[in-house]
Amino acid sequence: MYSALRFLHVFSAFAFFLIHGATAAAMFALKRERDPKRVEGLLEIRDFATKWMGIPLGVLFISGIVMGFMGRWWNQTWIWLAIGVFLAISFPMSGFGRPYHDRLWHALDPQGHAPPTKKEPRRTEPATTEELLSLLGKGRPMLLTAIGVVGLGVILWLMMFKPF
Amino acid sequence: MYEWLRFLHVLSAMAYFLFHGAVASVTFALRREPGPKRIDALSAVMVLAYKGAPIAGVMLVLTGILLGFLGRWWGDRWLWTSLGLLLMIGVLMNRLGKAYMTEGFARATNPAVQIQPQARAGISGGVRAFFLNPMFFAATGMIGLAIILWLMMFKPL
Repeated sequence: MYSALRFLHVFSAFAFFLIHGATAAAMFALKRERDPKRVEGLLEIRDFATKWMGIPLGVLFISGIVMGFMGRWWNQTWIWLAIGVFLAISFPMSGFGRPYHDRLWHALDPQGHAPPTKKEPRRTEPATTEELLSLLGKGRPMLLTAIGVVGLGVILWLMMFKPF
Repeated sequence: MYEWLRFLHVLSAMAYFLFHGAVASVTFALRREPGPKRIDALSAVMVLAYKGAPIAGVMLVLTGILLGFLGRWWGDRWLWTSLGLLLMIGVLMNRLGKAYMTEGFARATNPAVQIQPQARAGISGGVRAFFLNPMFFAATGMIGLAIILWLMMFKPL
């Protein structure tokens, strides 16, 4: 049972990265875009990936929690550290990535997409080219990738070596 | 040493899937018949993915070969079965994927292609639509990955 859950945990992690790759690549490509139609195409890729990302993430979480009980890992430091690192990665990822995409969608299609926060004023007209370029320039794909890769490496090391 | 290589093997697999996911998303996006401008954006995503995927793929294979020697797994059947399966999926995905992408990109950039019949070279339209389909690629890839992972983790043969 434990081995089957471990299999499910690894499989769902791979599935998660497969889907997450689309959002990461779209973010890198967005940085170079200048054309609104092309920007829309990239944002659609990100939307499509985000729609499906929750399924493997959910399986990853549930299998991890159950394994923690079955393996009696919950009183060990490595598992809490791994969860802490995961949360530390997730906050900048979703806290920066999501508003960036939502802001771009709102700039391109103010009628169809709301601004990322209620504090931001709702546009009535699509953004001008200059405004769009300024918004596109605010993407930080390298920073988010660095955070993600280092964080993933640390989590994987904690899970595989269980040093604490 | 073995444990570190195993760590690197898993890490490079995750990196590979991250890059490959970008290609997979483009196959699904092509299904929605994007216009010429959007197709340019999709090409940009493909270029990015193709830059990184081979590096992660080579790392994955190299660490796998070394692990095979260090663990003395080369005499076991599970390793050969998983390698054979990987090769089979790789060839299938490459051949069908390339055909699908070429057709999709051509259709998006040249509307005249859209009115051409789907059937070609003796293959019926239905069979072609079944195999040249992102859902088929996704299912083949996921089932193949699950079997390879099962072979590697449980070493049943």
